[in-house]
Amino acid sequence: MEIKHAHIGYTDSLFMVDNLTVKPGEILCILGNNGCGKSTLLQTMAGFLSPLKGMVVRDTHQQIAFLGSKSQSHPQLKVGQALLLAFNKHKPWYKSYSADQMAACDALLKEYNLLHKKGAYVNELSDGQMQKLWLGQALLSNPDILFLDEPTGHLDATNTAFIFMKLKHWVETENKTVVLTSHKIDWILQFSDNILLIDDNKSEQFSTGHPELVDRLNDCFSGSYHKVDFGRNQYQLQFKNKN
Amino acid sequence: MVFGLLAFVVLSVAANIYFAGSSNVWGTDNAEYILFNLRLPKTLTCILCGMGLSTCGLLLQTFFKNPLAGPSVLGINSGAALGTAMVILFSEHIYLGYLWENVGFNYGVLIISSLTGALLVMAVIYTLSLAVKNQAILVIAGLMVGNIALAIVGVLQYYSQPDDLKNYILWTFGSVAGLSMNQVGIMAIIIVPTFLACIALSKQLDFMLLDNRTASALGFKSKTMSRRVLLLSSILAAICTAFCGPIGFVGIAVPYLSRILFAKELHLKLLIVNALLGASLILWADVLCHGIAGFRLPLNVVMALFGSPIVLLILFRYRRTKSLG
Amino acid sequence: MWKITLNTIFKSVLIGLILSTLLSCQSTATSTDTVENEQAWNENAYADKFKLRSTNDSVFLQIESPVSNQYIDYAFRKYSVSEIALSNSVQWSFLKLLVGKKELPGAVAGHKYFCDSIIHSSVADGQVVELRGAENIDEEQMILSESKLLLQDGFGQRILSQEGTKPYVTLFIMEWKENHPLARLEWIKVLGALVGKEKEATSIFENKRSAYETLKNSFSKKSISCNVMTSAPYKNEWHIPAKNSYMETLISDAGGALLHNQQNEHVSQKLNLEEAYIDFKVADVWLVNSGIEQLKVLEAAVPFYNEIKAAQKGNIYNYHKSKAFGNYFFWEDGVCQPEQLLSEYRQMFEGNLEQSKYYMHVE
Repeated sequence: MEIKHAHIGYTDSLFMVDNLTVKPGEILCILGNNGCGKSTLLQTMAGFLSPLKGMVVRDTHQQIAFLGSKSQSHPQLKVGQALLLAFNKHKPWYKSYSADQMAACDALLKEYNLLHKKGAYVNELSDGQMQKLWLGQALLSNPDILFLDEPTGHLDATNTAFIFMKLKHWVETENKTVVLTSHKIDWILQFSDNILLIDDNKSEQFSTGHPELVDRLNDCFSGSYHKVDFGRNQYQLQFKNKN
Repeated sequence: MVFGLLAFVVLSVAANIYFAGSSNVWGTDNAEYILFNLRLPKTLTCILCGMGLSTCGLLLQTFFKNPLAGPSVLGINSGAALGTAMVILFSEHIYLGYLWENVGFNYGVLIISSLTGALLVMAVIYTLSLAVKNQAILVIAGLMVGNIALAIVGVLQYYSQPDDLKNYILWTFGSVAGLSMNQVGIMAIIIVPTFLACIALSKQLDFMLLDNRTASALGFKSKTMSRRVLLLSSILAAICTAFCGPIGFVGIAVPYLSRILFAKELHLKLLIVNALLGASLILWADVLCHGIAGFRLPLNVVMALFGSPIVLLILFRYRRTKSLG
Repeated sequence: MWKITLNTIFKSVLIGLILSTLLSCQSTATSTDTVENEQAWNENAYADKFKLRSTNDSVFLQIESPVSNQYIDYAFRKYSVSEIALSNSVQWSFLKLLVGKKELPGAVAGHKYFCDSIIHSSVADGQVVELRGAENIDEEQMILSESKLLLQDGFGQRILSQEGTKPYVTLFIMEWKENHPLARLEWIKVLGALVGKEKEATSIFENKRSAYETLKNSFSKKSISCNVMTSAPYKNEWHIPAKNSYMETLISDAGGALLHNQQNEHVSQKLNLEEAYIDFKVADVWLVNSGIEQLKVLEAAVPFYNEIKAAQKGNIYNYHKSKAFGNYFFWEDGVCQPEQLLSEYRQMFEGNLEQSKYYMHVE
């Protein structure tokens, strides 16, 4: 997927993305202060909005999945049904879901430790459970590109770790693409391959190993609300280990 | 459970045919005429009307992701009532030869005007839904638009003749009686294909249960489907309202109940189950209209008087065991 | 493939809608029996809402529709009174004049609105079937009662049934649409023709007509000046009768002048209290013509009660003298007694109501 000279925004241009390429097997994270237009960019990339100028090029045969930060579902939707709906696209309207599909859902629930909630309403789940459920649903639908808006919004460390591990594992084993926004910078530096930093109506792309990245991050976030102390050596050490 | 429901529906039809009317009919020479010309059309009207209104309610509850939504809440009924009131109350002032038969309003005109009213309300709500993303605001907007429609009806009532007014008031009580086989046929021609179209859309309706963007990513055409759902639900509500008056309760209670009683089903089966429940509810309500100690009560009164406690009962029972969301 | 089927379904729904609308227009359009107009209609003295012509065994009628100015054609056989179902007590008082109380109707809709005790007692002992409600008759009961002719008044539910469509036929008795008291009475000819009592009907009408006209002529020779106001307000609204209406004709034939009928003369109108105050101060006689039976109720309803001349003089009347089962005979057989009403009106306008059947002082 490529973005060329695209101006991003609802009615007025918030910033421009000059040239961005996302390849299969990559996790791209969009970083920036609140209200800078991260979600708008994500929605533009997913095709819900068109860029004000320029273009977003995506293969139309590619399946996508989108997971918003505030997921509004029907109050009488059950957990089991929500998962099955991942298979809805390729099912003829007159057929029921196959036994395989149901088994896949059960397996996923078990893996995500949600099996006891299968008959519960989605809206009754805790934030962490709900986020896991929607991630599971998105993965079940087997997309080529997965867009996530703040997938770890107000989750505890365990659930955050769970979600990032799942994503990393999925991207690496299936050669898929993930684009997400997040504020958990420590986790992102650890798990994503590329970072798009939005600051002062500009966007810059870095790979996570880029030497200037940590300086730029400090510039961007310290000015706005609090000083973030990134242990440079520690992270660099980790990257070296990983590569 | 499904077999239980089917048995219940059959029982309701039988009870309606047998009990909903005078008790001293059977065995007389006139029994055959009464059965085929009065009872049967009435029973069919009950079934069609229950089907139509409950399906309309289900579509709207899915569309607005809100179990409070229903044709009467969103002002569709009020819009249709406005269209009908125009014909019943105001026709002398917009006199057109074909508007009236010799003695009463022409059902063709009645259908068109009530459909126009319902679609008008829906169009306003749909336009708003493009601008406002919050479903709760849409429900409130629907209430307001409905209020405007009712206010216009009020103006028409104020300036109308007492006998026209009486006709209109009787119409607002709701009634499934008095339709000829021809008119029932017209109802069926409109309601059955619309219902089938809803079933054919069941897959898309399932998508509507999800968050809009999540569903869109999965291949859901949000805009087209919104238009279709609103059109279909307006047609259903308008036809039922034109023929039977503004019947409340069914459109809200039945979809909510069928979602509780058949919680595991998605729309393909839910639509059918819901329609069956709606039909049997009106069938029983009609029995009660005639049945109690020779008193005749209007349909809407019976529905509110006996239906609401039943719904409350079910809510309490389920509150103990399961949560309702 | 999926899209094609979906679109087909949608189109078929739309086409179905359009087709059915057309169909409904056709199917509900009623086929009226064509009446051969070779023979001339009987001439009516006053009535203009019906035309009548009859032979030994059939009755041909043209009656103005309750909802428009068009005429509906009817052809009937003759009926016995017991084959007739009534929905309005005026219909019963016409029949009573023709056949006495010997024969009873087969069914009535809303017997609680009748004054006549014989209707109440025969409904109670099952001789007359109650059709449960005047607005919405119970068709099943109608059929079970074996009545063959349903007389409707054109209010509420309107059933148009002619030979062949239902086991019974319907006819609208639209006497209330007539404006002259004698025109309303003339409808007795329609009922007379239906039950085979044409001669009796004509002689009853002619007798009452000559009595009425004689009275009217004698009153016009000795003119009086009497301003008459009618009805009572509800909140801020005061309904008054139109010019040339039934009420206005009775008042003017008796020598009175109905207040405020200058503008918009031909429809009944609503005044607000301010307009009513200006118009009604000068009234000599107040015909309340409503359910109000007590002066104090009237006093509470009208803020300027004490300013009205009629109230100061105590000339307030209402039609409550004859009453049974909560209903006033004025509505049941007042239509059949136009000469009685005319004489009572004159007595009230002259200030000495002595021989009355319907009107009395409100106290």
